[in-house]
Amino acid sequence: MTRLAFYFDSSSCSGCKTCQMACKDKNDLAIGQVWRRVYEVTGGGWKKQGEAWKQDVFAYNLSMSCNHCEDPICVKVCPTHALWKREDGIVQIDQTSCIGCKYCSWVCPYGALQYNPEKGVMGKCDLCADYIDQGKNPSCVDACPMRALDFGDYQELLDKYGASDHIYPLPDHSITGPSLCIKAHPNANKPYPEVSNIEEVKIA
Amino acid sequence: MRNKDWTLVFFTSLSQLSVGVVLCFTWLVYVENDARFFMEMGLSLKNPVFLALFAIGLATVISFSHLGNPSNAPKSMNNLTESWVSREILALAVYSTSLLIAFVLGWKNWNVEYLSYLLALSSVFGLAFLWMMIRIYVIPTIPPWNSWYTALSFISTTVCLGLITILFLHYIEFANVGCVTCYARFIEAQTGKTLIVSLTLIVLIEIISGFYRQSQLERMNTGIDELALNKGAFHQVFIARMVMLILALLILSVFLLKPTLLAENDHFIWIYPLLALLIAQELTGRLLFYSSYFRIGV
Repeated sequence: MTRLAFYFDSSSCSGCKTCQMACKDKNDLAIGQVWRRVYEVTGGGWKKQGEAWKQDVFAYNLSMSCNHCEDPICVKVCPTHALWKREDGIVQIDQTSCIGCKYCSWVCPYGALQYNPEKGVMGKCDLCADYIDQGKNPSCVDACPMRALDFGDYQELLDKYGASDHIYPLPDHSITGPSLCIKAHPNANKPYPEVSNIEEVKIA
Repeated sequence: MRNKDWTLVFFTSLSQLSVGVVLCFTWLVYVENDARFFMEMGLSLKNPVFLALFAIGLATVISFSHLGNPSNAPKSMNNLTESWVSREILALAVYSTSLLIAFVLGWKNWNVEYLSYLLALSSVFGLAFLWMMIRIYVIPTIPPWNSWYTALSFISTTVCLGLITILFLHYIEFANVGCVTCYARFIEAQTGKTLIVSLTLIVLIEIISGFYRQSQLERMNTGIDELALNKGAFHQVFIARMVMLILALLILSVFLLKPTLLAENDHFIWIYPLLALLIAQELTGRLLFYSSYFRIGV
């Protein structure tokens, strides 16, 4: 059974946010709606050792949208069944059934569900299901100039890239089973990382 | 505090007040067989059944303003197999219906002998409704809510608001007939004492669990949201709530230790500040509960 997933190469991503813009453009999203977000993770600093200053500054990016989880918590909690899962694993939302209770946005650990105040309903990445049905790629995948994004069957992506690391600030993947393969940035294992563009990703 | 969460503060508090009133009144009816004849049973807020029905009705109306698209509300029971929200709405409907039937029976004086059974049934539905409400907030991705405190908080709110409302309704009945002595006797009688002792215990539990909960929150890693729960507005509101609870505990101690003195000196108007303090601290506690929200991940 197919389980469509995203692949993200954190070591290649330059943080240009073209994927974010391509998603906004394709889905005609208003200000405040960003179904794909790019998190800038930074850490380290400068330390004086004797007469010299040494630095261990690091940074990497993480492009994140709905991960079309294997066990989607949003589908479980939705009271109206507006959220549902297609046979190919894409988690979709039927906005004509949504009551706008926002419960799904409370519980999703990837911030995938976003409230549209104009329509009074939730919205999310649907992996460009209409494009996929036409045999095309999702808009973010095609837009990435670094080729840091890919999509396909989860197992095939694992076989192709051999990557499944879940890096900071992502939660433990056992909670919802995200359909996401990540090639970690070499700096992703360094201590005390933090998201440095938190206001941008929350308010964009 | 996100926009529109005030509606949830009032929805949950009013719903729990309704269930608490029904539970306490049912307990009184079974402990004191003549309780239902003593209490007002007509179309008045002094009638505990009508008050509970009014509170749940108001809570339901308020809950609609939380929704972005209320026109789809009839579909909200579509996911009974998995969603605790769907189950809560079903339980709310069943509880309200049973309460409506109990109210009409008492009001019209029809088949009054069945009223106590119907009240017991409403209590069971009310408890089920309360359980569903608790389960909605016990979510593995929201650490501050995914704990025993959510259940304790909702149960103590239910019992606290139920007890103080029933105590207040008793007071109104005595005040209406101008019988201060009756009030003193009630406070000294077993039922009155049990109500006050129970309320004192609940207030004590809320103080102890409130401080314990705050120390737990201060130790939590709030992830990328970087919330400060041990300083700023959140901490000040917490302190304000604890002050209200301690004041309520002092008033209750006077009720417990010197009930006759208070009644004889016509000082039983202390029930008003007690009621105001307990309602205010419950609303503040619920506000703190929603404000403590953060989830794991991004």
